[in-house]
Amino acid sequence: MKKLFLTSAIFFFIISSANSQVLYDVRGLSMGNTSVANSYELDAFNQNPANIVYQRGNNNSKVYFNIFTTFQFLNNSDYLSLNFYNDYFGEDASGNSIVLTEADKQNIVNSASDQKTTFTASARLLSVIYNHPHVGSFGISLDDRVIADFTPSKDFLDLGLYGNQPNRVYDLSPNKINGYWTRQLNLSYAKVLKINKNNLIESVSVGGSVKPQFGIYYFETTKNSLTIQTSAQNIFQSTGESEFQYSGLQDDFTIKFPSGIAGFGLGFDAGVNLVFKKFSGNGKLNIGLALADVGYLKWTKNNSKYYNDGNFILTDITNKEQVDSLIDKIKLTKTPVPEFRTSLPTTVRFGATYRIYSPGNKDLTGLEIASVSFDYIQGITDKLGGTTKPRFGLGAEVNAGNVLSPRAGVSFGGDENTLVSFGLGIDTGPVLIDLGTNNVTSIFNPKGTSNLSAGFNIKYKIN
Amino acid sequence: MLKSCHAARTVLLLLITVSISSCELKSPSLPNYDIDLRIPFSVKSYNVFDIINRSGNIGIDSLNNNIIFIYGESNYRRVFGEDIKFDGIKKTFITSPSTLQLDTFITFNDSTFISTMDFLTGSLTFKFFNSLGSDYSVNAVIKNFFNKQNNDTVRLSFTVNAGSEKNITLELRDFYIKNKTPENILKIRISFNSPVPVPVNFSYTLSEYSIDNLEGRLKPLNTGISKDEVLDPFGSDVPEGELFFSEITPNKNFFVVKKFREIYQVDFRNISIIGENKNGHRVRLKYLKTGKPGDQIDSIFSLTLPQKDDSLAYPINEDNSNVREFINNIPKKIFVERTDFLNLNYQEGSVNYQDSLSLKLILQVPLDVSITEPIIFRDTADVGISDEDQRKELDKAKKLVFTLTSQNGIPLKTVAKVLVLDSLYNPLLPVSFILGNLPDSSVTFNACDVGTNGFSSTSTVTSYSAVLDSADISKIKRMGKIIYENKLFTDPKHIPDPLNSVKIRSGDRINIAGFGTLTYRIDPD
Repeated sequence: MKKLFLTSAIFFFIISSANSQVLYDVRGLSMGNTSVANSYELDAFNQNPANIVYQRGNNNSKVYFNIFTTFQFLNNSDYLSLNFYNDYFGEDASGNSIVLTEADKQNIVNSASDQKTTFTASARLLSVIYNHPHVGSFGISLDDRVIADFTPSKDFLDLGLYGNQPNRVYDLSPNKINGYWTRQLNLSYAKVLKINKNNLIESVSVGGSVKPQFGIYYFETTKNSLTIQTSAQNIFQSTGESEFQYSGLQDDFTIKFPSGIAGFGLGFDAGVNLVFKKFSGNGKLNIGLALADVGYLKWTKNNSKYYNDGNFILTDITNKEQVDSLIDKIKLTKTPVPEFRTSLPTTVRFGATYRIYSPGNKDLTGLEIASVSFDYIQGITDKLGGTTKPRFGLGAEVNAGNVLSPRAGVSFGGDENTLVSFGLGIDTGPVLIDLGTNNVTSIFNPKGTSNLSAGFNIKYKIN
Repeated sequence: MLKSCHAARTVLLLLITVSISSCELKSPSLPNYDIDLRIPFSVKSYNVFDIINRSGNIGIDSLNNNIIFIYGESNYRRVFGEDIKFDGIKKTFITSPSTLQLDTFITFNDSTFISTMDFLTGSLTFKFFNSLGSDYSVNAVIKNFFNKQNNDTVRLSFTVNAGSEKNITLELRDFYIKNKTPENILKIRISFNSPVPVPVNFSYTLSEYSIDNLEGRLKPLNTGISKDEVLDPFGSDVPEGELFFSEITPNKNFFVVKKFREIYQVDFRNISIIGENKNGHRVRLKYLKTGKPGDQIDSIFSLTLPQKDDSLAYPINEDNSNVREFINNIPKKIFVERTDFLNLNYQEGSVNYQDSLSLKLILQVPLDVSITEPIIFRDTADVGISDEDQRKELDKAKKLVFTLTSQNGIPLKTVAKVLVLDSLYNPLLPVSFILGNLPDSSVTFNACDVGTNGFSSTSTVTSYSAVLDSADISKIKRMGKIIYENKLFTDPKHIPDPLNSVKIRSGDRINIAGFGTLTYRIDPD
């Protein structure tokens, strides 16, 4: 019983886990997750490939790059804050484990029951864009993405924290845990097409990406129908089954820094960005449309199914045969399986950005003083951490001079909560820095928020 | 531009400082807490078969409310072998005046007249004497005596030398007798070949012999005393104590006498049947003196199997026997002694040495019982926690509220003792004492109520509960044996007047559940 609980607890409370639709760029993260119309240069990878040709106003550099300097994560939960972690899963001042009171247990059950927690992290290992004045922009990017999610059912928490009550059926079927670690190489090309003799559209940029996909780890709950009940005479009976699918660099669950791949696939992005002429007297309107992550990933290494037959009955705990049988049942049975495919978390994104220029800037060129953006993101599949629930974002950026660009936004929908985002862009010339979060509480109360998020990005440009 | 960069750096540092200082992340450690685990120790359902171990000796009478009955059978079979034997004839001298031919006969048995007879053992010996001064030769034929090898009449030819003796021995197993009509003699013609008549002087001896096969009129033959012993006629798990059965099953109890070929009438004389229970107490089975209605019952009795019948069943009931007394003793062993007679009615017939007889005692008694002295069942079970990690886990147990509940649907009261010991039989936990808190360390599960028909009516629930502290729980780590003892009684308090016994059905069950709530400290360390 204890082993079962501990194993489950480790799964559900220590391993961060996952689900997010997209890899947001840090700037977009700060602006309510808007990016399909307003992103540019390196930030446009995976958002809208048509945008890699664009640069921040007043910039006209030939090369942008960064190496290991882009990182972001976000945790989406209704309860799992640093305070929650520290209060229940951290050592006390003496280095001892915390002893839960009845109130603590009740708080955990009330907070975490049936709540899905998603953890997403991404890191850009390398990215480069080369802008050719006539041919267009070429880009390459290598990104790692880790997504994990878990959902503990109320019955599971009750069982684990209070023990098995007689005459109660514990439904563990809502318990789920999934995790994915993928790497992708993004090869992008974009070009601005000038539109002549058109009073409405100033230009159109189009772009596309070919993205070889490299699977590193895959773990998914494919089946779970476990229930447990205890009779008035404490007969312990479990029914149902659970099944998990795995593929990864290691034969077991141990994680190592990837030096190989566990799967390979191919993905594609395509996008367009329309720039409208003098949409108003002092601004321009961009409308972006992108289709991202169309493709598949075929997992080939150490593919296994882990199966747990949960049908057992325990009538006598002193009966060695019964106990041994129970232990055998708890153990997962590993079975090799052939290679399998998963589709990429395909999304369609539509958005608009309105750039506002200073009143004296009649040509509407250079650095805008502010911009307002809107994105609508629709997932096509829930594979690999995707969601089909639409998400909306609204964001704004103010360029207070050429250096500082504070940003803010709000996003809602999808699997995540309604969040107010905030960030800051710093343009120091050859070095551009972006800091941001999609939940402003992460800055002012990082321990208390259950939607901790942060992004950090340093990129370089060569004129 | 430069000022702006300084400002940016300042803002950046400020934000990072605020965030990092706010993000204290403690070293991970799973929390400790107490949990109440409801665990089953034993949930078992017993019927009477489980208690007294079902065997071929226990059955269910589906025509009588599925009442359980105990069935006992003891079969005493014998094969005659060399037991069909005759005394033979002592040395007999034949003398007569001188002659050249003599017809004589040997009476092998005064009262047995045979058509055919083969032998298993025995010999016929002739001794011829010659007191003359010259030799003489003898040619003899035994007219109704034949050689088995060639079926020829037995012929003897030999010479008796002057002044000497001549012995001729015939091993009977090589010969047989055959007569057209039953006779009890061997017919002999002897010719003496000599120049002068020979004075006849010879003797013959017929040793004790046994027969292989015989047809004809056999003299009434005592085949001897047979002694036999049957172990566990009611199965090997015969309980201790005294059961008082209120009845035996009608028309199910018999003596069955049987012969396995059509032979002479068989009389089983001087039958003595003694049942001995587990404690050595003996009860003699009494029956009708000659097996006929109206006879007195006696502990020595006789049964007859007529020639015309292959088998015959003599019913046993409470009117013609003391069978209930005999059964109430529940014999562990039954001893039988008897003398078998063949052809007491002196009729023609046949018998073979391979023929056999059996006397079978069949008893069936329903479990309609009164038990005043308990019947006791004891058992020792090997238990233990072999896994070291599991034993260590017990150290984290703080308290165990242990409950033992019975729902008794069997009309018998059970007084049980349970003792947990280590593997060297050193007592660790007197479980039943902790639960019942009685000086005799027992717990009692009351009998169910009994209806006016003698069967169980309403089950009775009995429950015991006790709290074991961590010290008691720690002893469980060392347990190696559990000794159980169950005493079964009938309880007059649950039996309505005027009954004094209870009937036990196959569906009567006692459900016993041992379970507990273990307060346990979840401690990942």
